[in-house]
Amino acid sequence: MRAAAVTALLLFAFLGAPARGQDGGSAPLDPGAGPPATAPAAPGADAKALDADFEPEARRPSIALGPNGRGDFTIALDVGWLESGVGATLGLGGWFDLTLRADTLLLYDGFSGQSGIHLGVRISPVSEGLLRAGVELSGGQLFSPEPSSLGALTTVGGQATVGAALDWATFYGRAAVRGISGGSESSSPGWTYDEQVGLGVERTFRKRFIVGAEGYLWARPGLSTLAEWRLRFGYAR
Amino acid sequence: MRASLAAAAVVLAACVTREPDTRPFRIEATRAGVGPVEAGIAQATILVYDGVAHRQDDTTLDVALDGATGQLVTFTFHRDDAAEVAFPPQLDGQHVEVTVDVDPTHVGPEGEPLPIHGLLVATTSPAIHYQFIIGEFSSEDSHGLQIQPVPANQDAPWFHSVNDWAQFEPSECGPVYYDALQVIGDTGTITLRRGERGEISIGAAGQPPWKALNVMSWHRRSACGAKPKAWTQLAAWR
Repeated sequence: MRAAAVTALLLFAFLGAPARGQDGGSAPLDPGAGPPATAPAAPGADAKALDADFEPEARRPSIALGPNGRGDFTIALDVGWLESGVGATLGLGGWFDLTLRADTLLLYDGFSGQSGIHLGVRISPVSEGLLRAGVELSGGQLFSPEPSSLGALTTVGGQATVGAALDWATFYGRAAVRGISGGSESSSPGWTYDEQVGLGVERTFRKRFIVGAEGYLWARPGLSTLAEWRLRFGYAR
Repeated sequence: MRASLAAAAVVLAACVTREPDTRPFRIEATRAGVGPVEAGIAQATILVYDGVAHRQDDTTLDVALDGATGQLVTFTFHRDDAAEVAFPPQLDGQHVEVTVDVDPTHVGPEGEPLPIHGLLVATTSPAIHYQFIIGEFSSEDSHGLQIQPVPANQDAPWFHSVNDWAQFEPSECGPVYYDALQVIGDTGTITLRRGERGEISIGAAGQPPWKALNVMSWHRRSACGAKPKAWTQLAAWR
């Protein structure tokens, strides 16, 4: 409940900022690109000339939603409770991005708690227009404060994200599941898993800078479900 | 500005912590007309009672002690977090030996006194044959506990809590990591996470396997007031 209140307040704080802070969706991402699509046509120009000058509308950069253009990258810093982390996303072309993320319990326990690193691929088949959607598959490892007597904690995860890129902000929802191995020893317990379901919002500033907030629930079977939040700061290029 | 300050305040307020939901067995052993068996005991002791068992219900066992008096000792426990744990029906009417682990300094998960931390029931005819174990153990050492309720080569399992690190609760004193429980039998070892149950064979062929339950096991790395650093709560029965 408190996380929901936090999310609502953060949404208010972000969305209540003066509208001039948000770049519209019609602006091209690359500042070196040609004239804007709305530039007036030269007198006497015909339709073919207008088409030749047309620049496709650039996709607004996002931390949560893909894809990035081929060779484009996004880096992000998340600060939250419980997890904080850094991530990078590299566009591979088409629907595909490569994702790398490292997280730890920074605000709660510094670097003394459980940390993790994850490498994945994000596939974003719905990326044009208002709605955007994708899935991410990842694998990684958890690091414990002391060596586990049961061996390494390998993780595999999947996440689905759906968002709406409006002119003034991008809203998204996501659902993720993560499996954690019981260690590599023969007597290790089996896999366990956890789930996250979250809602978030992002705004873009100066075409490259992204600020976002997300509230989510972290559920573990048989254990408590915890309300979490994170603030997200990104840079896209 | 006000919105930002308010947001920051709410964010801080949303930094929730949570303790593991630990519900001890709170084992009691009461001698009719006398009172709790641990009364007056000043140091860790093992008490042994022999007699004929009468199973009142899943969590209450009367034992009419051998001897002319036939005095009753009643053993009870709470199973708030382990509904499947019960005194086995086969104990009813049998001659049994009940072993009670008493330690007046032993504490529960909140630091509360918990002087009885283990109960072991065996049938005795024609020989000692273990049937039921419940135990809850706190420790100031956050590394794995070795729990050996019976001597070697007896027909009951041994236990070892191991630091798993995969799951934790964000307690106010730092993470509390749930531990796994290794159950060691004749033919191998099984490892159970919190709430998990497994079966393991011990003793002569043809004997029913032991069922073992890791009710709750956790440890924390940092001290937290009167609370122990580690807790293991287990049950096993035939």
